[in-house]
Amino acid sequence: MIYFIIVFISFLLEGLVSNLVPLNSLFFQNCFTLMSLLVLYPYFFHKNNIYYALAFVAGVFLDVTYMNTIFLQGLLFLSIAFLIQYLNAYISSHALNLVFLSIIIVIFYRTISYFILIVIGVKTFSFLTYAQSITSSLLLNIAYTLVLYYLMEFLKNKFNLTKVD
Amino acid sequence: MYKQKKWDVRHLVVVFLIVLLLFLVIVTVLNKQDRNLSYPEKVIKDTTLLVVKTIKKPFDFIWGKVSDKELESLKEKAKQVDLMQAKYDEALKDIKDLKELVELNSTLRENSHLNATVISRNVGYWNQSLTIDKGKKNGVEVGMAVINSQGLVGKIESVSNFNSTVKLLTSEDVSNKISVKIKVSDDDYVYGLLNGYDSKTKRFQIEGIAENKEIPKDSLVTTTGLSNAFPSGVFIGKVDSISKDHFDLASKVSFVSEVDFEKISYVTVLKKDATS
Repeated sequence: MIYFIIVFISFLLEGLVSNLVPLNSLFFQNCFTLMSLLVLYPYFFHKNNIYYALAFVAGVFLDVTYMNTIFLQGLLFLSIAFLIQYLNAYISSHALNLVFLSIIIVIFYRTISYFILIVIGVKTFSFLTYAQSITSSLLLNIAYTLVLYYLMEFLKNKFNLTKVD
Repeated sequence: MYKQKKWDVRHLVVVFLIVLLLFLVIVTVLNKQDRNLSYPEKVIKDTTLLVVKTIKKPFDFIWGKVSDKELESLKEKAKQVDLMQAKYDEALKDIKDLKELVELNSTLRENSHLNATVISRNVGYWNQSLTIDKGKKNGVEVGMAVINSQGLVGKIESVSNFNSTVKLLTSEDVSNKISVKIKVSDDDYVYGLLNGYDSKTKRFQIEGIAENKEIPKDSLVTTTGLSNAFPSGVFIGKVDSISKDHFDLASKVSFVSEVDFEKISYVTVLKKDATS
């Protein structure tokens, strides 16, 4: 239950923080929901299906609530959940690795989003906009990932949560 | 004994391509332009944004206290309104005459104003959109113009019962074109089409100006009202530079908006009156 609450809080924060930073901020674009999925994956050991469902539902909520799309983020989040699972098989979960993983996830997320938007022809973006979408998303998301990681470590010890490192 | 054949790389590539193709088809079909929100989407959107709005309220209160100086300056400006009202009444008479002359569909006068608070801004990076706390129940409809005190901000892209999404003028959307006019003298305008926004230079582009008139720098750019989408006379920006197109036939005008698109917290929706 606690995992769902954390994803939901991250989802709410995504909207709230958008009001505090400039619209096209060069450093503080957030993807908190995605980062929460990254940090929480080790806690879903042998519950991959629940994890995928959570990723998909979180994406759909993001679609509907903030982005006016349908299933775009849902399917993107699902594919990223597979990627997180794959990467976690090779990389252990500790703070430094999480920083590395969050960079990979941000790059993957922005790249796929960029190409989909180009291919389906809804919008036209320059390569510079694409590059900026990545660089502007790193700082805040890495910070959030670390905060969430230490929060989860604290909760793990307090509530004896199962985590696979 | 039968040995199960393992999947080789070719199979994986084919499966990947099929999944990718399906993904793109689903996304393209479901996210076509100008789609209306379905009932479940409206319910999810309204419910979750209600939670966001509730959590945001204390922050707004604190922010309001911090920005008291801005309030004082606004109060000072409000005192000048009476003086402007007299000029406004005079201008209304002129508008009526001019409107009859050019057969405008609607003007600012025929619109009522609905103030709204921004709940979230540009989540997901690509959208260049705002979510505001007024929706269908408040009379908001798709396509309505959205302004703030500095000028035109954008238009309503989708509406749920209690919230709406505003597509900003800065959106790099291929369908985001608006008919505009540039005031070149007291009673003379040239007409063109707002054709896009350059995020590098932070300038808007107007194209399709066939008239061979001199356009002074800092001329006012406003909406024409020639379509049903926007009323006439909504201020958009001031002309910055003029150049010729590739064929040296039409002028291309670049202009600057006074709206600070980075920090929009409150907007006004121009609702069409029932009589217009």
